[in-house]
Amino acid sequence: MTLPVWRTEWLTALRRRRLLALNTLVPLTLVATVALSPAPAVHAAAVFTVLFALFGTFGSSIPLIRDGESGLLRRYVLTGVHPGGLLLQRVFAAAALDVVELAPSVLVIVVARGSSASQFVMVVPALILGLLAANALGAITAALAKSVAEGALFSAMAALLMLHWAGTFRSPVPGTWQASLEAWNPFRPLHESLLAAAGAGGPDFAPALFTLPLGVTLAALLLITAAGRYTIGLGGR
Amino acid sequence: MFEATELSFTYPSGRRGLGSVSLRGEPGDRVVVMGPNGSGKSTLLRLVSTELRSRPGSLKLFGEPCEPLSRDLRRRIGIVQDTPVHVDELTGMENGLLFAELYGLLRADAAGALETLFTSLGLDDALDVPTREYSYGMKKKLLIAEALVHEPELLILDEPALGLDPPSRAALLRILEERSGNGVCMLAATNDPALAQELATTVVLLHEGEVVAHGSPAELLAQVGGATRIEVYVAGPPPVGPRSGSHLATPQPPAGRPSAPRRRSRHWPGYRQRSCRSNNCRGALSPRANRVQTFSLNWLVRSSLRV
Repeated sequence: MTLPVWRTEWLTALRRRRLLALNTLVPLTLVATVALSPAPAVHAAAVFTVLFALFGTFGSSIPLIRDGESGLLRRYVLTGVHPGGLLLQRVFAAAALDVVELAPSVLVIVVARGSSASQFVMVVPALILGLLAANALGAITAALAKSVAEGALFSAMAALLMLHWAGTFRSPVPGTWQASLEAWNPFRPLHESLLAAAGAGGPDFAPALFTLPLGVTLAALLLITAAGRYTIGLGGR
Repeated sequence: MFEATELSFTYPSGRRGLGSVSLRGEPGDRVVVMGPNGSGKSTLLRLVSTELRSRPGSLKLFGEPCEPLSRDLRRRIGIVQDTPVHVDELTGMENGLLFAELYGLLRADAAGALETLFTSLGLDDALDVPTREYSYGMKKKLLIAEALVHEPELLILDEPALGLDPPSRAALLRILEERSGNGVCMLAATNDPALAQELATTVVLLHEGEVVAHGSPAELLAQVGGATRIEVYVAGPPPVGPRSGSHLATPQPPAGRPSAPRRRSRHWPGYRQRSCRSNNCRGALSPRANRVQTFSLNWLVRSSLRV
């Protein structure tokens, strides 16, 4: 099984060295500033979660819209490749690249805030899941956008709304529909793990925290696969 | 090979891209679509390439209906778009291999075929150069190689020779003739009468989304009285910055011109008196020449309809 689009995404990212460096250093600068400051864990974790989620969402939607506008996606699809498979390769490649680019930032958080090993172990899968969900969200917003500007707007709006529902900005009252929704949110494990790693304490690795968000993320990926052709401006062809 | 029945398309703005066009091509056919800008050439190609969906109208490819569309049908088509788009960070060979893999070829098999195509098209020196450093013509040649690498049965070519230097153009024609001889059907759009004459077994003239003439180049020429030279005289304001060295640059009054035995002419009020020998307008067409050529094409269309 060959994955030409996955390979192309990696080759392209590695050859855009300036962008690769910026994508690593800019989040690192922000994260280091906050992590090394005496900012309360709840605020620091909110900054980290928002940064990581927007990083993933924008990183997926903007290139997709740009390649759609240039006609590159149309060229791909006219070769007979499955549009959903094409999008999946791009989403997974972009998420994997995001993990690599954000890894130094996560290390800084863990070291600067003195996180325990078990808290670090929880951050890793939460980061992977969160970035996968963010990239899937970016692909979905790209499908709705007709320009890069619209894509940026939709991505920011959708990601911030999801972050809000994940409990990043407030804690919902137990038993309310917001609290039920939070349990399903793919950004919740990311926020919870970063909150713990940032010094708020909390549970160590808790697999139960991941179950529902993982299901939602897989459902989103399935949706992208099934409806991939609508995402790339071919009018359903 | 392809059979289009009453294809039509209206853009979201409401502009009609194509009226009701029926067309077919058999193995070995080279169908060339000509017409003024906006006449629907590219829309027709996009419909036949399955990029756009015709409503109403139907399309059959390789004897199979395209509704619902089978992705396997797309693998049997090679497409050269008018604008070459590649992954700029990849080299020419890497781009070629990427599209070969998307067409379902193995990298090892594709590499040899691509090298042969690159050599034929004169692109072998730039195999390892990122395509962001390619000129327009080089990108076009790469696009052609990518469209041919998987040995398609149907080739769809939108202005295939645009931007190519004369040796590459000749190489392209050679390759297309060879593929045609092997049973490949071609549907091409061009504004270059010389290319149409060299390539086509059938010429389709489109005007405002409708087919206004259809036949072999010889049949179409016969419709305009067998003329091998078409002159268009336009009158009006003087040209800005006449270009030396071009027969289009200097106004040439018809009176002093040696008369051709089968020459036809038409006067277009409002434009400066100029001339264009359509059969000699090969390559190097300036924007001004294009304008004259468009008129000559309109003239051909109108003549063929006797309007």
